[in-house]
Amino acid sequence: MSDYEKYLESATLELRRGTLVLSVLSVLEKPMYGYSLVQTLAKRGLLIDQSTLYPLLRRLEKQEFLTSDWEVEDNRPRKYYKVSNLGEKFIKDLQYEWEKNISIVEKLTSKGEK
Amino acid sequence: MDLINRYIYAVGKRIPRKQRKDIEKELISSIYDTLEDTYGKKNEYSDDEVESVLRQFGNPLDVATGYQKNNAYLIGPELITPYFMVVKIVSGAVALGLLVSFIVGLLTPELTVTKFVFEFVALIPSLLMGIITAIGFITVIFYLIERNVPGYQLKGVIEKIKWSPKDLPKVPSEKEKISLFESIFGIVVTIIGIILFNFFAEKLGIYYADGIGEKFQFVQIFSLDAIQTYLPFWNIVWVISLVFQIFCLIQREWNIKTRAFELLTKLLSIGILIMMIRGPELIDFKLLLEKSSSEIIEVFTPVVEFFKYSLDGLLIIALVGTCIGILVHAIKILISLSKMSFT
Repeated sequence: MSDYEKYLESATLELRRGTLVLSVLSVLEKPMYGYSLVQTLAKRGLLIDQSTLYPLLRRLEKQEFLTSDWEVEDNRPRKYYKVSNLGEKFIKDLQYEWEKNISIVEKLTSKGEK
Repeated sequence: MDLINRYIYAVGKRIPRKQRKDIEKELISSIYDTLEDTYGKKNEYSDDEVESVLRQFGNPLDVATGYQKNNAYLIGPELITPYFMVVKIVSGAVALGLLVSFIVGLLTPELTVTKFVFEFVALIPSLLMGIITAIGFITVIFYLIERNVPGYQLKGVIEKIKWSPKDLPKVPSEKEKISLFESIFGIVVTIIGIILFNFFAEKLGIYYADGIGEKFQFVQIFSLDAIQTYLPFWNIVWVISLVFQIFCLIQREWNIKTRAFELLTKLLSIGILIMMIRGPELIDFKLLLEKSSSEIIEVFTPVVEFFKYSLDGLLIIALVGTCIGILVHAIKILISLSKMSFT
């Protein structure tokens, strides 16, 4: 891999990392367990490694934006995550920041209209 | 499922005990979810199937790292640069100190070239051990600074986002700067002192040859009894002053912290100086003169008479000097404290 490709990859990753929290929280409209969340995200176009998602869920739970419950289905325990009230507020605020970002970056990158 | 168990174990052992059980349980559940989704619902999955799913989950090391807290480090970014600098300086000083003491240690009448080479090779392991030990100590010191001195923790840095340009420390004037050379010199001398007095005290003395081609003669200078009495206290002061000098290398300027630290080391040395004035003589001049040969006595006598057969005079001068130093430091601390209360 050339240096250029490496830099592009790491910059892309950084862009993505910033949006991950908002994406994951937004998708959790109803309680979901880890793997179902991976699939839902994938269906909507966001491919995420399970090894990235699970620690992220745990962190969001620690920050009190998510709550979790163990439930047994088909003889298998599954950890269901749910957005908390604080999490709902967090989504709204983050969404606002995200849109602000988009509009700024769009203005900056569209060369025609200044 | 042996493979899954081994995988979970590999992840789990790298995760703090408190969260381990829950994380393991969730991982197992997710692995089976993935298996079921990829290969359909079965009672038993083949090793190949399990292997491909585990590969998808990733290296257990990476998975475990993902769960680590951000502060899973020993020395944070704030301190890592001075850390490496101190490691380099101290390793150099230890190597130099060991070399010097090695050469001192070898200075015996029976020294031959073969013996020198032989001893030199034997020195290498102890050189390495010395450097490794020193790096260990430095790491412990930095770890303690990292966790206990406010302002150095990564967390503290992030939380201090509410800063004001007015709070920025002043650029130290030339007077307030601690010279790099001074600190390094201090560290080197202290380490050499520690090594010499702890391991080679009996070799410290005057070496002289009676004539060309004659064997070396040796007169021991220090009274070993006295050294034994004082050494534990010296060591305490030396180690504390080493820590102080390393701290100076990090701070690089005279401020309240560095001055207070210096004050502490000076107070300790006062205690030891007083003890040495009252305690046994470090150099037994009478014995020294008795053991020496006539040429040496000639050289020595004026010196011995100048000291009046005792080092006490010298020690008292040192004591007075240290007291003045303390006074100067105390005044400077007071000045900077009063400046602080004005702003």
